[in-house]
Amino acid sequence: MFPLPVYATQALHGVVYGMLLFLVSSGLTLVFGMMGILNIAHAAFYMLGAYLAYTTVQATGSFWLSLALAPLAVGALGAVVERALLRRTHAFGHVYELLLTFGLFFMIQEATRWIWGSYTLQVPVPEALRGSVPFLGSQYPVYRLFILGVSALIGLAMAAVLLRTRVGIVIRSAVSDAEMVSALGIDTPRVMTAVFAVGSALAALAGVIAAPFVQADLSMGATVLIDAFVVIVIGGFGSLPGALLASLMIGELQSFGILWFSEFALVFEFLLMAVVLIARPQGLFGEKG
Amino acid sequence: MRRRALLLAAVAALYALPAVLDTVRLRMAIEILYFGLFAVSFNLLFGYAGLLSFGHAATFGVGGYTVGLVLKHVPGAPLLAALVAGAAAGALVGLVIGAFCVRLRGTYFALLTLAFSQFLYAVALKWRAVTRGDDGLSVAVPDVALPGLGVLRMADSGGFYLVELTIVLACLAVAWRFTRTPLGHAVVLMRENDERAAFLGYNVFATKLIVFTVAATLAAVAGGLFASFQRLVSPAALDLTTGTVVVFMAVLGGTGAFLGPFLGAAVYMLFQDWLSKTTENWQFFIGLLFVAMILYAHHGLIGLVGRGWGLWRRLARRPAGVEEPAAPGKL
Amino acid sequence: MNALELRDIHHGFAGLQVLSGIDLTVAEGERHAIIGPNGAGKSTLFNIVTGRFRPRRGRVLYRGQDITGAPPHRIARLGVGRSFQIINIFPRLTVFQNVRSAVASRRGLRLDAWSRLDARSEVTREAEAVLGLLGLAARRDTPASELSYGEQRELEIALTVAVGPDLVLLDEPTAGLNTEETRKAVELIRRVTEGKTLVMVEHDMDVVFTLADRVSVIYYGRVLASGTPDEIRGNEEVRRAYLGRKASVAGG
Repeated sequence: MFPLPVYATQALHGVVYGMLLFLVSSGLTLVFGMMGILNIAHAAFYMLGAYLAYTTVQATGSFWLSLALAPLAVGALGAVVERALLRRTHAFGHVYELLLTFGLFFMIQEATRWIWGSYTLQVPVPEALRGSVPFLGSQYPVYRLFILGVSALIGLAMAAVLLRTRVGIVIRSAVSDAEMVSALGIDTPRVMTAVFAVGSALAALAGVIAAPFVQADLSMGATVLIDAFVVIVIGGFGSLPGALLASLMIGELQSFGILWFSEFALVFEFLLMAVVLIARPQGLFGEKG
Repeated sequence: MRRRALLLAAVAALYALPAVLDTVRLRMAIEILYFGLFAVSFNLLFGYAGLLSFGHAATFGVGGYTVGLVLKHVPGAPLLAALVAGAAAGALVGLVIGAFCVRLRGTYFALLTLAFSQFLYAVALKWRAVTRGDDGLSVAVPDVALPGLGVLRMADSGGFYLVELTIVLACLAVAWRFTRTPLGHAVVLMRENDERAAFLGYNVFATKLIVFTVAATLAAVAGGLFASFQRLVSPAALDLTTGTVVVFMAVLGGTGAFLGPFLGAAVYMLFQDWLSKTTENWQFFIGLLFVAMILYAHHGLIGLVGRGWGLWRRLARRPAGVEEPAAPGKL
Repeated sequence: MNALELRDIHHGFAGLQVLSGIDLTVAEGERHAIIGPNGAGKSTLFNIVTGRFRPRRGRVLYRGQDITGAPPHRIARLGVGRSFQIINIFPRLTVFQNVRSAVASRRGLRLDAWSRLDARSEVTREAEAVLGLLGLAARRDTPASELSYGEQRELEIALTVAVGPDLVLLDEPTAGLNTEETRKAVELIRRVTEGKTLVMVEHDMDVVFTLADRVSVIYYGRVLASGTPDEIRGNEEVRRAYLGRKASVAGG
């Protein structure tokens, strides 16, 4: 049907988007695993990252600065949200926590519209990353490879922290059994705030990286939200390896889906999510209950 | 006895509205009526069964499209028949979706209902042959003939309002009665502790499925009325925004009382109407209001009234009633 | 015909074997106590009998009928009622509403979507009768969460018997109760299980020896011994494994 280089390129596109999706979903799945909350506002943090990148570039001309600033700002916002708002609703039950994050998503989206307007904002690809490199007979954009590289790097860094450091062990334990960890004397609330903040920062970082690629747009949140949901359902709530695998799956599904089914790619995603929710609700790697 | 008299008086007043309100306000009342029904049906799932659905717009849209399609393809079909068809379609779709979703709880349930409604949205968008996709399906509403009394013109807001009011009141009566039945009480048990309910002999799956189907059916009726009034139904009836708005309305009004969501629909519509004239960024304020309500008044306006009432009673030193958050029983 | 028969029940979780071949028989009308150290699998046994888990191996027979792995609600309707070790009531509903839910189920009013529940006076009367039997009538309109611990334990038992079971399974019904409350609870249990078969998991030996006709000792997944309270008391193996240093056991 299509020549091989096209498949290869699409496959690479899939990996690039998959890794970006992983960056977004990793924070989401950790927070769910640890606190039992699906933070819908997470997608809004991603969007905020992109918009903050736009403003930073406008103000200072430096894309690299936004890589540091946006995650910091949004991470701080995340910490505030968790401590001041989520804690309050915790007593009302999971459903109200979900509703709160939902309301926040909406609020942040509208605030973004208010501050930056409804039009798509262009974030230019930084000088150093423009152009393309030869790939299988055609060219592949350098920037996409940058996305792939940064996501992979951060993924590795996360793995290193979680597997090798003491902090990492605490976090993994808390994701597995928060009550137990608390009983062992560890300041669970602080860990939770930290995980939430870092997760939010990661989402914003993903937004910054994605900005020159997808442009800063108000629909960013909703788009990545659906995909992220599908990822963590399939991968398993609380599982990072699951999120990685599922992200790559969805990345490829979208890439090839667009090639083969164009309109129905989205439908397949939902079908897949529905099947997983019905047949194996804990996802590929998640723990039961 | 007194309560019944008050109820009758209220109903009579509602029927008298077309004589009192101008067209613009009457149109607002019409919208409040079907959104109110939509929100009340949502609350059968959320307030009573404890199931938060992000995809309740699914059958709202199914109802709308069915009415549109029946009126388009069945010549001479009366409006009532179309609405019944819409309700039946809603029931069927609700049954199918429910069979999958009610096995789950909490966040999982919310996500799966969302998935189904997004799927139906995609169908509405792509199946241009039937639904006309993005352009929307136009709905030609026949006038309603009242035997012996003449004809109610649907093009006239007053006429439409009266027909709609009757249908909505009938649906609300059915829904209210439903909550008073053993099954209606059973689903509340399951909201509170579905494990114990099962060990007491209750079939949790069957109970929740029936409630889901009833809620879906009522939402479909609301959708049918919506389509009939707007004379157009588009995929937007099924989208995330519609599914979101109904959640807002219910929470705003109060999910702990049967008519709470109806109040929420009314307040939301009026507030949105006023707010959108005042500022371009009205959606932000709606969102802010929603967040504030979750944080400080998650029992909604009814809850605030209840708290105010409780405070008043305590001040007047009369024994306050048992405080039952999100429990049925209050009108 | 025996009320309950367990044949070669095996069960485990994630590599941990909890029950390794349980054989148990409870005669109709018998009061049977199950004792044994914590973690020995007693609650798991109840979960298996009432359908919450399907055993890895083995059969559960209720009145000769195989109910292995049947769904909890079906088993409950056959006449098996069960209480929980950790109080499992409807905390936000009133005491009356709690009991009424069990009564409604007993009367088959579960999927009735037409009649009005509060118009059913026979349901109300029966629920109030149960409340009276359990001494909770005065607390009728109190939310269950506001009851004292002892009262909640009574409500827990009320829910169990209000569905009208013929086989009553009580999981540590006196857990956390002081001496006086325990005494009241024992009387209550005796009263409400009149004419029924009772299987009870207990740690309090006084309760066991007061109420039980027969006792089974479950020790790390196996039935160590089964017999009358005296037989069990006199059993060397049981003493060594479980009763051992318990000075509170009279006689010996």
